Amino acid sequence: MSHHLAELEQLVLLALLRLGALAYGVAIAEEIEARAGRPASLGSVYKTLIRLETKRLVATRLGESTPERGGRRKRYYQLTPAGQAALRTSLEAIQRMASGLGVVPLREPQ
Amino acid sequence: MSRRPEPPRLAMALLRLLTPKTIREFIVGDLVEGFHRRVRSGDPAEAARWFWREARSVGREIGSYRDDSIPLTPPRPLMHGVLQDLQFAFRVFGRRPMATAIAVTTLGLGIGANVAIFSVVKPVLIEALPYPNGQRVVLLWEREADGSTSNTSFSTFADLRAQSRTLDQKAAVRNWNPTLLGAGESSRLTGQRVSAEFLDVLGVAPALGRDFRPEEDQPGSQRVVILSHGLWRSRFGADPAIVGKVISLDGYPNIVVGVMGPEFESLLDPSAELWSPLRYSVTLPFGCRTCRHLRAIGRLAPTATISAARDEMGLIADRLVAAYPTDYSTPGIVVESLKTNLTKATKPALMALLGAVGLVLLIACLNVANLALGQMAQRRQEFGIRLALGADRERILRQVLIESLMLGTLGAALGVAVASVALKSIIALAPAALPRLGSIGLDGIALGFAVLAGIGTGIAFGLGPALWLTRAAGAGLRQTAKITAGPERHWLRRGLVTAEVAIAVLLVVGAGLVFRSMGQLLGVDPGFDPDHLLTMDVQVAGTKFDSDLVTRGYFTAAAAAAAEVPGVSAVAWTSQLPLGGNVDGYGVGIRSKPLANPADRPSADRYSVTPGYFETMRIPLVAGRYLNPADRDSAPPVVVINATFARLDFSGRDPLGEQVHLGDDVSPWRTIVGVVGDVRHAGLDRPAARQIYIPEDQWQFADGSMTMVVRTGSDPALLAESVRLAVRRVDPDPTIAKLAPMTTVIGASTDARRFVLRLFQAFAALSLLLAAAGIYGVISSGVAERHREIGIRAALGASVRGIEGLVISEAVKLGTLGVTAGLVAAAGLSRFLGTILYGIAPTDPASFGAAGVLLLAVAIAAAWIPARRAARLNPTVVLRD
Repeated sequence: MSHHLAELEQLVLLALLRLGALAYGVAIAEEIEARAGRPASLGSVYKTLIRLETKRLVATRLGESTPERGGRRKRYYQLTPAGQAALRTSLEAIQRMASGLGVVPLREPQ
Repeated sequence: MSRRPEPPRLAMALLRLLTPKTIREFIVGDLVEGFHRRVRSGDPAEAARWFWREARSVGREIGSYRDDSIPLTPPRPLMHGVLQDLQFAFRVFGRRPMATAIAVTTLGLGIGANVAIFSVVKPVLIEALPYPNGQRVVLLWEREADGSTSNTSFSTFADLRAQSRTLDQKAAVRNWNPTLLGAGESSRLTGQRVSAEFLDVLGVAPALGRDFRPEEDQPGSQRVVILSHGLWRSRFGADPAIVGKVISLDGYPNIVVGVMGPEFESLLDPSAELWSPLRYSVTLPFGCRTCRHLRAIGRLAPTATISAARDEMGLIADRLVAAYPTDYSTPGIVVESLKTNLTKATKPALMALLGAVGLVLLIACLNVANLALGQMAQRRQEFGIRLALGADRERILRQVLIESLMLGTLGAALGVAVASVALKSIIALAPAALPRLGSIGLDGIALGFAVLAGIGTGIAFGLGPALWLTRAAGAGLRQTAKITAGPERHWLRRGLVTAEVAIAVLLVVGAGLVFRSMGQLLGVDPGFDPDHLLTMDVQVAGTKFDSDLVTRGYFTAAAAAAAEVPGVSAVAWTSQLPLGGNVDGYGVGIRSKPLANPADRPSADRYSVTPGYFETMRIPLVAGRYLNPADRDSAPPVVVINATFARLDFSGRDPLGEQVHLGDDVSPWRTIVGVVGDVRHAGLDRPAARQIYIPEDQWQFADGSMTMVVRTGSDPALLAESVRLAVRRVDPDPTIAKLAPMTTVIGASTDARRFVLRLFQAFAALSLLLAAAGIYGVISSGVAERHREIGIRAALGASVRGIEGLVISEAVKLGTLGVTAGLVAAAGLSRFLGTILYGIAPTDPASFGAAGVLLLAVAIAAAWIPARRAARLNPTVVLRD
């Protein structure tokens, strides 16, 4: 089954890849804001995460609690194999659509 | 001092209100963490604004989410689904209360029977003996010429005790029946006289007081006793100050030195209530080398093995035979572990029962599998819809698994209840000879067994069919539907029912064989007439009976008093009662056939009887004469022997006039004056050995314990009380025990077989019931599925009888197949009943035939209701549907 990803879903999945094993709500939102340069509210990030989890594209595990969080635990997110496949399909589609149009340089930022 | 800034309280409250409970902790945590980070970077006002903004975003984006719309991969996805499944399973059960009740009852009965039998078998066959390192306790026997084992004598024991190094503790034990004289009626106790080291051999010690001291195990020393916990409670009111008190046994003062704890089990004699030192020496007359009336036990030294002990005993035996060639027949001392000794008699019966009850569980499982298959057919629509809605095979299998587990758990719970009830009956029914009877009970292991059996059968026979039926789920719903409805399932269900019938045949054949054996056994002529015969043990005690003259005078007067009771036609005394469980054998020497080694003399059951014994018992005279009142102390010594004795030792000669003596060489020669018929003594299933009858007046000493036999004109039980009172009026002191009709005595001698028989009957009945339920299930669902066909037949003019016959012939086909398979299996397996059988072949045609007919009848009976239902179908209604 294939999943078509919305933009924020793509961004969240990419943020998860960047953050590795330590991706959790506020860190994901900050990563998107920092790298993508677009605002990502915690509410919309969580809404996306819930949707991705419903589609089994991400899995979660319980994290540690810190004093900074008032003793509350973190909930870590990571890509499932299905999530990786969906992300790849989605990005390839964009790449194919964009290639040769010279709209944006599709290069890794140096 | 500045307060540490906190997130805005109102925003926090809103956030809590708006976030779904399931992820609230993580979101709030994230926000609080972000807030503090922003505070640290120096701008608390911006941090508060950020917090407000993000809280609002959370409320906007996911505030409308309900708890259950949040996906729940870890942490609690599994449990959540399980709860759903459990609820669903309850709904499923509720929709099919009958089928569920039958499945649970079936499992409960099967598991209950198994738990009960397992609880009986466990202390005997599985558990270690209840002594520290109990596996090191061994019994020592002398080997007989015929390879059997016998007790040992004190002289032999003393040599073993002195010479053995592989055994570091040894003790000799003999039976003891002292009479406790007290304020009320005197009572006869069961006890043991033991070496001072007895409790050391077992590795136990009294809970109260102390163990025996070596000096208390010498002739003439002060008499001391240790009481069992039970006796201490029942007779001495659990007196905490009992130690040091004096009790009167057989008229002698005995000091109580100890009381055993409640946990102590006397395995050598489960009925023993008190112990006293043996107080023997090799110089005493009954300490002689051929006075073999002691059991010897020992504890293997920590470094010794049982085979080392056997080697050592072989050497010691060789030395003994060399030193005393006329005192031993075949050299050898047999070393046997106590555990082996205790289990060998009951093991075959218990193993047969285990096998039988296992078959019961198997039938129960087949029945549950059958029910599950039947339900699968009905549930194919439900599963189909769920598959179509996107449920995967795992999800459905998990649902079925949960249902199976619940069914199994309910079955196990019912099984435990069934077992606790069944155990009570089993214990009430169990023969006294069953070892460790007191330790039988439900415990954690038995309960664990029940739960395991329930869940295991639930999974195997509930999930199994589902797994098999949905294995093609990948191929889609249609495939599943086809299998559940198609011929494959019919084939499977019929196979299961056929197997049920076959196993039931096995169990019924088994029960039949055991039943027929019992009949054969009870049909055995005991050699006397047990009807209208009352028996009663009387034991004299106390110093006033020290003289033989007084004792004999008392027994004569008691017999005369009993004879006065109206309805009594004859009375006599005997030193031991046939089938009464007594063993009193003497070596017999024949004057005309001297033996080089006196120890090779054959042993004979010795009966000291009063005149009139044969007439009272109605033992037939074969030759010569009965004993009569003229054979008194002063007259020439005479004996009467039985036919087997005459045949074995005087074949071709007339035994009358021959002379024999009993025991040691100094005993007088006695002339044979009569030959009587054989009497079954050790058991109805044991052929008579040599038997010899001596006039009680002419025996060396007066037996203090005699059995009265009373011939009555009517029901002996009705006269029992009058006879007892008449005897008591002669002298209130002697103890009267075991007052019972002879038929009851014979019944008790067959207790062990009756026990096995009752259990086999119960298992057979259970298996019949389960097989009937299985047949009923298959036939009735077959009828349900063939409504249309039957309707068409009816419309085409098939008669009611014809349709009934159609359905019943279906059951007969199944039954015939199952019966055939069962009889073939029974022919192969029945020989494992081995020694449980008596007087019939393991392939007894009557048992096999009866089982076959019975099962066919049950098959037809089980199909009767579905057949009637089919015949009453209204064709117009059926065809319209």
